[in-house]
Amino acid sequence: MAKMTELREAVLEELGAIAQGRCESAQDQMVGRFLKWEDWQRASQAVQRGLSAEERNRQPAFLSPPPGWLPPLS
Amino acid sequence: MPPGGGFVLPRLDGIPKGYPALANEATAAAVARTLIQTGIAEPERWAQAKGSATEFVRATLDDWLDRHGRAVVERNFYLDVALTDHADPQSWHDGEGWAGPQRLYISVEVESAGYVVFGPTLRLLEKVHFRLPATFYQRFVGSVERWVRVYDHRDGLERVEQIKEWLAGEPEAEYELPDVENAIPACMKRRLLSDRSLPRMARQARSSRRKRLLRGLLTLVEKANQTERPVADEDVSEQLQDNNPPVPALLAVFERSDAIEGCFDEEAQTMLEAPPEPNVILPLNGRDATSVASAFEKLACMTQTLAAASALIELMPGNERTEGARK
Repeated sequence: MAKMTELREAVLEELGAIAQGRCESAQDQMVGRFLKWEDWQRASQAVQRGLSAEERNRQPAFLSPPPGWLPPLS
Repeated sequence: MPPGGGFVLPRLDGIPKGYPALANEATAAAVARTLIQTGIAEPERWAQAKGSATEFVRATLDDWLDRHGRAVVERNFYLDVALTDHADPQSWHDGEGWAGPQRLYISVEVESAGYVVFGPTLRLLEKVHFRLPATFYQRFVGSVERWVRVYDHRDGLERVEQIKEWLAGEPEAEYELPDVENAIPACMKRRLLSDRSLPRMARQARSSRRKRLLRGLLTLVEKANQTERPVADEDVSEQLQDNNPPVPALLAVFERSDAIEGCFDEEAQTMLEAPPEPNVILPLNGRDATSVASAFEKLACMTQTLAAASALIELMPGNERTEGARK
C-alpha cells in the first residue's frame, strides 16, 4: 500500500514538472535520445555513407537545355 | 530551372512527428495528473507510457473504455473516442483561441454507421399488444438518440421532401422518388403505451424471447436516462459553425434494403463533404478534478446506453449475426 502511494506521488510529481515546463518529457527529448542511442547514430551514419557513395559513383548525363534556356546552375 | 546533378532530400524539420489529439506534452501532463487524482488513471501506466504524457492519456482513455463496456458497444457501433483540445479534432487548427488544459473536450466521432432492422421485432411484439411495436421503436431510438445520431424513416421523409422541392425547380429532371412512406409499417402510426405499461408487459410476456426483448428495452431506457447530455455552449457552436451535421451512428430500417436504407445510401455520399461534427462533445477543465470526473460520468452513461442498445440489437430477430453490420 505504501509502495503504491509512493509510486502515485512520484508520478504526480513528474507529471507536475512536465506540466509546468520544469522538465522535458520523453516526447520532447528526441535529440537527447539520439545522443544516447548508439544504434540510432550508427543507422544515421550508414544512411549518410550510402548517400555519399551514391553521389560519388553517379555519372550523370546532362540533357541540353531547350533553345533560349539558361544552362543548369550546378 | 532544375538543378543539374545529385538529388535533393526533402526537409523534414518543422514537420510534426505525429498528430496527437492534445497540443503539447504540458497540456497532456496537466490532464494526466487530474486523471490520477480522480482515480480514472492508474499511476502504474506511467512506466508503460515511456515518459510521454500524451501516450499516458491515450492509454488511460483506452483502459477506461475497456472497463466500461467497449467490447459490447463495438459489436454494433463504430465510434472513436478521444480527449482533445478542440471541439472539432478533425479540422486543422493554428492554435488560435486555444485555452490550454482548462478547456478540453472528450469527443465521440463515428467511423461508420451501425445497422438495425426493426420489422421482424415489431411483428413479434404486435402479438403482445397492438400498440407495443410503436412504443418499442420510439423508446429504443429515443434512448440511443439522447447520445448519438440515428438515421431513420424521419430522415428519409425529410430527404424525399428536399428532392420534391428540388424537382419543382427542375421540371426537366427525371428522378424516381424513394417510397419511404410505404416502407413504414402501419403499426408505427399507433399511439404509444404509457411508461408504466412496459414493466408490466415484460413481466407478463409469455415467450422468453419477448420477455428478453422488453427487459432489454427497459434496461436501455434506464441507462439512457441516467444523466442529461450537455448542450453545446457558445464556444463549441462557434468552433463547429462550418461543419456538417454528425455522421449517424446507427441506421434504423424496417426491412433490409428498404427505401429508408436507399435514402441513407444516397445521403451518405455527401455526408463527409465538410468535416462532420462529432456526435458527442463533453467539455472539461483538465486541471479540475470535479470537471474531469463529471465528463467521464457522462461518458459512462453514453457507453452504458450504447452497450444496452448493442445487446438489445442482438436479441432482435432479423439482426442475428456473429459480427455487427455496418454501413
